[in-house]
Amino acid sequence: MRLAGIKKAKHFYWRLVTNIVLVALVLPLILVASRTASIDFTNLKHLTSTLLPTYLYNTSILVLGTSFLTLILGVSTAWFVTIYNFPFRRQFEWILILPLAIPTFINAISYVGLTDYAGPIRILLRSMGTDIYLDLMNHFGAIFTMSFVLYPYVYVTSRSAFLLQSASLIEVSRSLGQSMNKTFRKVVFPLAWPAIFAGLILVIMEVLNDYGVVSYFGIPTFTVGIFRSWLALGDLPTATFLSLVVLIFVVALLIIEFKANQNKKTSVDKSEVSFSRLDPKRKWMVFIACFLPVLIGFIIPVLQQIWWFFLSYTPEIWSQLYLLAKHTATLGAITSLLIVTLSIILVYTFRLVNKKGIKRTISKLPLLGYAMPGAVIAVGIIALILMIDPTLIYSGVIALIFGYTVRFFAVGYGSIESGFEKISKQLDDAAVSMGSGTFRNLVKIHVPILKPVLLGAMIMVFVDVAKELPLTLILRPFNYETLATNAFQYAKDEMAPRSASSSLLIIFASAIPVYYLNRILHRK
Amino acid sequence: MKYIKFLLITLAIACTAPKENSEAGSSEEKVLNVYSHRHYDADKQAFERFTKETGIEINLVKAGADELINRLEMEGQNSPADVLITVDAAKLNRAKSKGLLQPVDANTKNKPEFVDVENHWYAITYRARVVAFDKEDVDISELSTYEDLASNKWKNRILIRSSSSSYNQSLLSSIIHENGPSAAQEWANVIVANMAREPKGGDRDQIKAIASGVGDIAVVNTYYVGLLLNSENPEEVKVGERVGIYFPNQEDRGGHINISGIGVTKYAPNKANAIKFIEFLTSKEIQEFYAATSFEYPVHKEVSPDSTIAAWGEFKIDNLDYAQKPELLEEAIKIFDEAGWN
Repeated sequence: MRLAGIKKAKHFYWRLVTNIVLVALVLPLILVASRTASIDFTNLKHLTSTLLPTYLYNTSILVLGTSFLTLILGVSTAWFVTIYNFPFRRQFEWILILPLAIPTFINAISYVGLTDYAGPIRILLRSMGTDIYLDLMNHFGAIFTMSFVLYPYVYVTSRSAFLLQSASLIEVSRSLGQSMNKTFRKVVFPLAWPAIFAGLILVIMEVLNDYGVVSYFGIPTFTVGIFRSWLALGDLPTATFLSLVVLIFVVALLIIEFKANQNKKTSVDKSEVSFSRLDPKRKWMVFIACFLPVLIGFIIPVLQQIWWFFLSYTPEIWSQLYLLAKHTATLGAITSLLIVTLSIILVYTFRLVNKKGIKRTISKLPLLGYAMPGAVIAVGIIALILMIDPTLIYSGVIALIFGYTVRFFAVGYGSIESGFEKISKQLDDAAVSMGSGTFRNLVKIHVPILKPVLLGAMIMVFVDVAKELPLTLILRPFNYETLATNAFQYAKDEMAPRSASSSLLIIFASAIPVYYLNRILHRK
Repeated sequence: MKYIKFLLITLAIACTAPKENSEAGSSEEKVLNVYSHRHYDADKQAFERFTKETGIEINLVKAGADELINRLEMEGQNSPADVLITVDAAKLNRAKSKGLLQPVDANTKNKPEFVDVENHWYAITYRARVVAFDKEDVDISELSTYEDLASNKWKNRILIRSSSSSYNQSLLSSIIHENGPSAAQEWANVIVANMAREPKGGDRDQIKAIASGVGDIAVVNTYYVGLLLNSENPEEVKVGERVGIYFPNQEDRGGHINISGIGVTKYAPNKANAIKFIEFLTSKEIQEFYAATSFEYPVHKEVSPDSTIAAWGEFKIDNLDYAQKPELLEEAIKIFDEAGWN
C-alpha cells in the first residue's frame, strides 16, 4: 500500500498511455504541416497580394457574426430553461439542442430551397400576384443559416455550467436584493464564462472549417482558399500554410480560453436551483424566446426536407437507407466512445501530473485537430498510414475512425476537461489519503460525478461524426456510404430533393441520443 | 526528446505488426477498384450491370478529381486503384502529366476526339457549357461567342457561378489557349463587371435567378438544364422551360464541352479488368443507357443523345486542344483571382 506524502507517485502508466495518445493525435497534423516546408513562393505571393485580405475580411465577418448570434441564442435559452418555469420548459431542455442535428450545409440548401424561385414562399407570393427576390446567398445568409444550427454548442456548455453552478450563489445574490437580471450579469455569467467560451470556440472552429456553405454561397473564406490552393492549384504546401494561419488564430483563442479558466475555482454543489416565478405574460415571452431558435434552426428546415422527401419519394430508398444509417450509427458510436475514453485518460493524467510550463501547452494539443479542415487531416492520416502499412488504407474503417478521432477530439475533450475542473482536488486527495488508487478514484469518484458531462460529450461527438463530410469522403473504405456522403452526393449534384431522405435520417439519428441525454441529465 | 522517443516506439510497434493480406488479392481476382469523381445514380446502375455481366466486383471510392489525383500520387506503387474517372478532360490530363495513368488499347467505338491521343484515357460522356438565355428579354441574334459575353451590351446581365467550379476553370483555360493570357485576363475582368450579381450557387441557381429577373443570360452546363426540365418540382420545370439554350462559337472553334473520362492507373493491379470496364462503359448498350438517363451526350459513334438534349439541336464541339495543357487550369485560377471573380 502506498502511503500519501511519503513516496511521490509518478503515475507511469497514465503518462505512458497519455503520451501515446498525444503522439497519435498530433502526428497526422505534423505530417501535414511539414509539407509547408516545400512551399512554392510564387503561389504564396499571388495569394498574399490578391486574396489574403479578402479571405481575412470574409472569415472575420462570419466568425464575428456567428459568435454574436450563437452567444445570444445559446446563453439566453440556457439561462431561461435553468431559472424560469414556463410552458414546455422540460421539453425545451432537449428540444433546444435539436438544431445541432442539422449539418450547416443542409440547413443552407434548405433555406435556399425555401426562398428561391421554385420554393414554397415564392410560389405562394406568385399565387397572390406578387413576387420578391429573396437572396440568402450572402454574408447575412451564411451567418443566419450557420448560427441557428450551431448555437446548441453554446447552449449545451452554458446549460451544464448553470446546472453545476452553486444554487446558493444565486440565492445569496437574490437575498441581497439583486434582480434576476443583475444576478445573471454580475454572478452567473462571469462564473459560467469559461464554459460558455468553450462552447463558443467550438462554434468558431465549425465556422472556420465550413466549406459547404461558403463555397455554395460564393463567400471566399480561408477554407475556400485552402481548397483552392490544394485542389485547383494542386499546391498542398500553400494549402497547409493557410491552414496553419487558421491554426494560429485558433491557438490564440485557446490561450484566451486558458487564461479565462485560470482563475476559476468552483465546487460541486448539488443544491437545486429553484425556479423563479414569472407572470403569465412573461411566461409566454420566454416561451417564444426559446421557441424561435428551434423554429428557425430545426422545424423550418425539417419541413422543407420533408416536402422534398415527398417530392422525390420512391419506394426503393428504404433498402439503402437502412445500410447508410447502420454505417453512420456504427461510426458515430465507436468514435464517440473512443474519444470520451481517451479524453478521460488524458484529462485525468494532466490532473494527476501537475500542469506546469510545457505540460500546460501539451494538454491543449489535442484540440488542434478541430481547427484543421477535415480534408487536410485526411492527407495527414493517409501519410501516416502509408508510413506504417499501405494495405491498411482500405481494409476497414480504422483509418476513418482515426481521422474522426483526430478531427473531433476537441469536442469531447474540451467539455470533459472543464467538467473535471469543477471537481475539487480535495476529493482526490481525500481518496488517496484513504488508500484508494488513482484508477479506482477515477472509476468510483470522477466518472460517476461526470456522467452527464461524459454523455453530453459523447452525443456531441456522435452528432459531429454523423454530419462529417470531407474526411469521410477521402478516408472511407471502398463502397462505403454514410448518410452524410449520400446526402452530399445529391446536394452537390444540385438534386437537393433527393438528398432529403438521408438528411432527414441524419437529423433523426442525432435527435434520439439528444433526447436520451436529457433523460440522463434528469435522473438526479 | 521524450516525445520523439515515444513517436519512434509507436512507429516501431506499428511496423512490426503482422501484415495480413499484405497483397490486396492476386491480380487475377475478379475485382476492379475504381476512383471516381462521378457520383450519379446512372453510374451505379451501369456498374451493377457490369458486375452482372462479367462477374467482376467493383470497389468504388468517390471524391473530387483533385483529391483522387492527390491520393494516387501519395499512394504511388501501393495504390489499389485500377481506374480513375473524372468529369473533365483537363483533370485526366493533369493525372496523365503527373505520370499517374498508363496507355491502354481498349476496343471502343468512340469518336476519335473522345480518346486521348496517347490512349491514356477514354471519354464516357460529355456535357456542353452553354449560354441559357431568358426567352423574353434576349433575342437569340444578340448571342454569338464566349468572347462576346465581355461586351458592353451584357452589363449587369450575366449570371455565372464561382470560379471554384471546375467547369469555369476549364472554360477559361480554353479561352487562354485560344486568345492568350492577357486577352483572357481582359475577358475575365469585363465578365466580372458584366455580372448581374456576385458569383454564387450552382448552375441551376443561375437559371432560377433568370426566372427571378436578376439577370438575362447564364453560363451553365447542359446537364443541369436537363435536370431542371425533368425535376420532381413542377415549378423547376417551368424555370427550365423559360430559358433557351445557345451553343456559342459555332462559327469558329465550337462550343466548350466537359468530358467525363476514364483512365487506367499506372500501377493498376487489375489492368485486364480495367480495359474490360472501359470497353463496357463505351459500348453501345451502356452509351444508350447513359444518353437516356443522365442528360449527357454519348461519345459512341452510333448513339444519339436523348430527346431532352436533342431538342437543343446539334452543335460544333471545341477542338479540346486546351485540355492537353492541364497547366492552363492553374493559370486560369490566377486570372480569376486577379479579376476578383470569387
